[in-house]
Amino acid sequence: MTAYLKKYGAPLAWASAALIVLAACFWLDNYWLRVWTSVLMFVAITQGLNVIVGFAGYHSFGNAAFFGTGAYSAAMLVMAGWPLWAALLACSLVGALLALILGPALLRLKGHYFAIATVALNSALAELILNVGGLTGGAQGISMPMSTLSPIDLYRQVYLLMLTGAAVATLIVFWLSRSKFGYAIRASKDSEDGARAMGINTTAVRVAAWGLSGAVTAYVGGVWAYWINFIEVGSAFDVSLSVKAYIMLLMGGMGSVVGPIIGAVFFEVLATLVWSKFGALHNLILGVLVCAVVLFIPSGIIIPLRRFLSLRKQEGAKG
Amino acid sequence: MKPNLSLEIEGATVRFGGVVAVSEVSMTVDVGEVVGLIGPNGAGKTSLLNSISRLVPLSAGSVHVFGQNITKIAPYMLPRHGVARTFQVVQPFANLTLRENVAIAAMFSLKSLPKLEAMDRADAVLERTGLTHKAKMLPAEVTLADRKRLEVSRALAMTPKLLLLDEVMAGLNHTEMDAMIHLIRELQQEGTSIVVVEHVMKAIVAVCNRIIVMQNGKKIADGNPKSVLNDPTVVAAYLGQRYVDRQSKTQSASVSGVQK
Repeated sequence: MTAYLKKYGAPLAWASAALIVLAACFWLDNYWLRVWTSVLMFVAITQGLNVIVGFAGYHSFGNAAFFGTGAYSAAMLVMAGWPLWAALLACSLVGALLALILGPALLRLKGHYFAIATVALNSALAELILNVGGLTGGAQGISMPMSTLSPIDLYRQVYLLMLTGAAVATLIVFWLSRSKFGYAIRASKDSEDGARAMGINTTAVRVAAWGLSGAVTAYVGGVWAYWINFIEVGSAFDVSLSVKAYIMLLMGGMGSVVGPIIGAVFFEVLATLVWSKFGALHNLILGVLVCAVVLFIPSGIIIPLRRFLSLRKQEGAKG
Repeated sequence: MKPNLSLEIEGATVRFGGVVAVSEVSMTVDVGEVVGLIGPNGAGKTSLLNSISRLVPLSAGSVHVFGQNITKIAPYMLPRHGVARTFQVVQPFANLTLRENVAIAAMFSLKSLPKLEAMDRADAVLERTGLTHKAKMLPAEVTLADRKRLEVSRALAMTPKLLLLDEVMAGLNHTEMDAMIHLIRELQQEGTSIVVVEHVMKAIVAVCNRIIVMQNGKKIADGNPKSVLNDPTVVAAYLGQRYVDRQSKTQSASVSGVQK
């Protein structure tokens, strides 16, 4: 029995968690359904950020550029008569392409230079959308066609679409944590010269990592556009979205599979609860909490959690 | 290029702005030969090694490896030509275990092994370099000597035909140094060509078939160890008279020991 649990325990736990999260949309009320949809959205965005920050070591504060691009791509394609699923697939491709085209130039920059360049990219895209007008709606934004589904069915559909994004993003990160490609990214992060001397094309793996990050984030942006129905540049290319995801990543733990999930769930649920109880003070309380986490557990919640679980395991083995 | 050459450098020049680190150096390494590259600090040894491994571009000259011109290839292509190197300042992947560090070398180099086979290869190499019991540790958890051995392990995992070793003996004690010398001799017997950049003369004398001496970016001597180490130019530029005196004392002591 113990050997069986050791072998299949983790997959069983993951499968059970997935089933519970999948079924949740049928018993949650409208309010909590929206809260958990938002949580899943941030799980996907944070996992996307985890690929480029946690694995590749490139600190991107402008992943909102992919979110906004995805939102506008999906909106324009749906307006052009594309079915939703095709528009969402296409907006992921657009996000990936954007990263693959700009990556070779931007990923030459290191440290804070890259971080600033991503913020600049976000601003540049926002300006472009504003000034193109016509297709993008310019400063007036775009309204997507109203869904014919009842509100609860629409919320459930959006929840399931966000869940798909979160699941795919987590699977990508899981694959990176075990695959040859993942080793190439992590090696490039730790020592560029060392990795190149071992035969790793460091530029290509970083660009590919940013492509994955861009695809996931753009997909979520597409679903978000469908969810809120009306999008405009200010909210679609909001840098605070990237900053919020970065905080979640810091809180959960970079470079791990579970860390971003913990960070997103912890921060988003807590933010909702604090907001509902202390409306005026909620930003202050959250700020203090973020400072405390960064000061006392800079590697994220995942590290003390792992220590606690391994201690429990050792105690179990002794007992 | 002659067919039995593993490395041929012609007129290599490396400039960093106005500073000429390597000036028109030409050298060859035969297949299976161990060549020592010595000289005072700042002589240009590591810059030459960096230019061979394409981490630093050549300002002039050419590099051929096993008949292939590699002067302009990307650095990550070099392992596919059978070349592996170690770094003077160790470059481990800090967040990966020693086993993973070595496995990565096997995954992306000449044979490009799949992950599981690369892990097996890593286990075999770590056993050879005596790091098996530390395979699951992170580089920061082991000593400098172990990190030097890790550098060598990663290079070996790449199954190189030409190995560039940059000061792998620095910081090792006598026992560890003897083990490293033994390993280099084994590799030579297996047919690997090796370029050794080193300050430890005991190691250079023990393993090299030929020694090249550099000073101020230029090659000042090239020949068998005995002739090079007695060359007055080399003595004046690098070894110093004390080294020669100490060597003659050791030799006379061993001769009188034999006579007694």
